[in-house]
Amino acid sequence: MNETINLPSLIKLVAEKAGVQPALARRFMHDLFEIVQKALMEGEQVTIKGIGTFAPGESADNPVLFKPDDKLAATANLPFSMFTPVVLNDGAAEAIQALNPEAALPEPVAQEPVAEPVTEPVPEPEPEPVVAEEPEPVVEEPVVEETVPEPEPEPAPEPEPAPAPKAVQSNPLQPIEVPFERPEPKPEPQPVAQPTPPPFEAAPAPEPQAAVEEEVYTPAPASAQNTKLWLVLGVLIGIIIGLVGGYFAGKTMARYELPEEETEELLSDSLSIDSIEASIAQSVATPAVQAAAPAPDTTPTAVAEPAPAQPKPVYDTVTRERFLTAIAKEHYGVKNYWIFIYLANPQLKNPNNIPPGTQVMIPAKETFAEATEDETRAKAARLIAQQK
Amino acid sequence: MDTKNLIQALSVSLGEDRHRVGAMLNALASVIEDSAVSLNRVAIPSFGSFETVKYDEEIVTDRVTGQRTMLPPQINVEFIPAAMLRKHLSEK
Repeated sequence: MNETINLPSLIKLVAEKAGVQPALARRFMHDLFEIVQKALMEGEQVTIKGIGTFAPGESADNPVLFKPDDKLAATANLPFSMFTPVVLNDGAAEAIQALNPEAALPEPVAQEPVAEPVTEPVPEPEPEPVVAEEPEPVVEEPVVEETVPEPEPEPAPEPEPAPAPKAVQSNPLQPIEVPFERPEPKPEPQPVAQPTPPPFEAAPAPEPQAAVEEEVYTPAPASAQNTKLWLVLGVLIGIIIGLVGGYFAGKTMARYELPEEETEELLSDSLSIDSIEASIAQSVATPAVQAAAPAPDTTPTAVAEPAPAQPKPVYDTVTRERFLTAIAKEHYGVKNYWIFIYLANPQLKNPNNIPPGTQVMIPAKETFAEATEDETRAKAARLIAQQK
Repeated sequence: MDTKNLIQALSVSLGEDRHRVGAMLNALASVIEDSAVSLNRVAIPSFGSFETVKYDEEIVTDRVTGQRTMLPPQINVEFIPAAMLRKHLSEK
């Protein structure tokens, strides 16, 4: 094995097998390989029965393509001829690939018992004759009978594995171990339990496979837990950011809100439009009654009338704390009269948004009748006040 | 060139009977076969060597179907051309 047969040895062997002179065999060898070389150089392939086909290669790295003859290939591969390609399932392939090259070696050993089923049934019938003979007083007989089945499994595998590798040699060892262990324990349950260990010993592959499954599946839950953890953390961070942002936003908005008293006053003003209208109606009605009452006394009062006809206008300033309502209450005693101040100052646009420092004219109560004529502007002012 | 033509060419060059040349060719094939079974190497100067190479089992994946197949170990007979033959073929 692993020896090199050189040309002299080859010539000698060919001469012996062909029954010719070594000189002729030498010439034959020389001419044969010269013809093959010439044919290859001419781009022609040469087929030699029993050896193979030589064909010129396409690359400089592999200038000659050699395909061995089918018979030669089958003879050379005889030790592994019992194996056939096995289609693997997805899970099995992953498990096998995950194994180390050293751990993957036991797998073909596990396949071999399937190829040689003859060895398995042999140990099974052996316990039966032992059980039948135990009641008998003879002790030496089972030993003789055990030796009989031993040679049966041995000759069967021996002729085959002559050139075979380690795997084929490992099978015959199994039936030999079983009979040696059985004579020690005589009772029945023990031989039943002993045949079971060999299959466990013969198939150590499942253990690394289980370990590989653990290695493969352990990362999956870890990643799921990490995902959940990150999700919870993200939600918590979002809630915290929302709370902080809401707090500061509320604090900022509070600066622009009016004091509660002012808002209440504004609300009461906007909600009491009916009372305003009623007061306007009263104020309009009273001057009319007053004007109607002194009518009979025309002569004595005619001299005094021109003086109050032109009341002096009064001006006031709106501040942050004094709105139209406050000014109306101060001047008229009724805060709902703010509408007359608003109507008397056409430069005011939004009654709810009068800049501080704005000077407004405070009309006299007697001019309220004129203000009621501008009903459309009064309605607009009420609507604006209601919108707030 | 097949075996028949090769035997014819050899018989012409050697000046021997075709049966005798065929017997020598069969003897050569038998020697190479025996050496392959014994995992030996047959070296022929200026031509090449016949060697047996053992390949371990391997898992092959079909790129189209994704099917994985475990190929068993095998022993192949390979021919390794000599440097002289390589040189002649490269010059050609």
